Amino acid sequence: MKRLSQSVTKALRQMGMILPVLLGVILLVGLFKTFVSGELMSSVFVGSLGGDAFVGALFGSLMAGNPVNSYVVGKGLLDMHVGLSGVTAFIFTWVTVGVIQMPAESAALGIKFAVFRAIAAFISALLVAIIVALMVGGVS
Amino acid sequence: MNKVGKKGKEGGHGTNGSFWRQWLFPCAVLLVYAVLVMFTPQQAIAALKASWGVFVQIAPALVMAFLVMIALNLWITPAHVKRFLGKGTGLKGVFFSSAAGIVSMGPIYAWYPLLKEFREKGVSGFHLANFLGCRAVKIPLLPMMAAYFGWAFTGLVSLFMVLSAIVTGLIVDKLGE
Repeated sequence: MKRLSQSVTKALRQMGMILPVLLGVILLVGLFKTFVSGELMSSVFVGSLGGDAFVGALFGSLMAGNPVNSYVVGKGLLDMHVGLSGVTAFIFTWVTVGVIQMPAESAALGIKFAVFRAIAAFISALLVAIIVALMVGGVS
Repeated sequence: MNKVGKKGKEGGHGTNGSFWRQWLFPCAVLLVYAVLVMFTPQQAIAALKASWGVFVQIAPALVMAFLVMIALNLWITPAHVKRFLGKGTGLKGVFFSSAAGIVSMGPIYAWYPLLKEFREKGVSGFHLANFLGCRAVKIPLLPMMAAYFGWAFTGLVSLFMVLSAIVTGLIVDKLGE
């Protein structure tokens, strides 16, 4: 019983350390969901393989949430004739980078860890987006 | 005494400075909301509603993470974790962290307290980064992704997500520790 009580106390302390930043991240996600629209995003893609991948990765990095949402937005972008490299990079970074949740990741795992992970994931997304666009070519 | 001092340095409630530092970021975001309420109150309310939606979405996962943390504190020692996910666990460790990332559910925010706990128990930066990267592959969502983009695209992207998670893990392990 004493061990259980110690475990609960420790878990509460661990949660308490992360919750304030988590609260900030949730409020920030709300702001992004309200102020960044799909139309705004599709207007800034440039039309080249690398350029679209970069813009897609940039927007995906700023977004967060359920991956399903990235599929819906990604399909919307494809329908607006955004290149496949841009859509791939967008979907990829949506789930792997997450600038919006970086404060929470830094608080939990260290700022150096969070920054290097985000940069590595961003560069991976660019490479993967270009390779996938070249391999798949078009989406039926 | 040393233990208390260490807690303070790690950002716990051990010192007043670290306690207030944790609230700087949410207070800054609240300040943005305060400004928005003055200029565009309707959009500020919409943003708050969207935030509430996000909170409702992650709450069950947070509760689950809390229960898992209690169980970990009770039964899992740093020695256990190090054996499976510590440095030098080889392919077995890669498999475990990749599989854990793929099967993990819920928003990432809910996982941070648990990952912090894992880190303190000795999990390497490679496995933490690999876990976070592999979370991009969600088996239950693959049919939906395929419905939108086709199976060729879905298969290729999923494969590259797992491979890039491993590469990212190697980079983080080398530079981010």
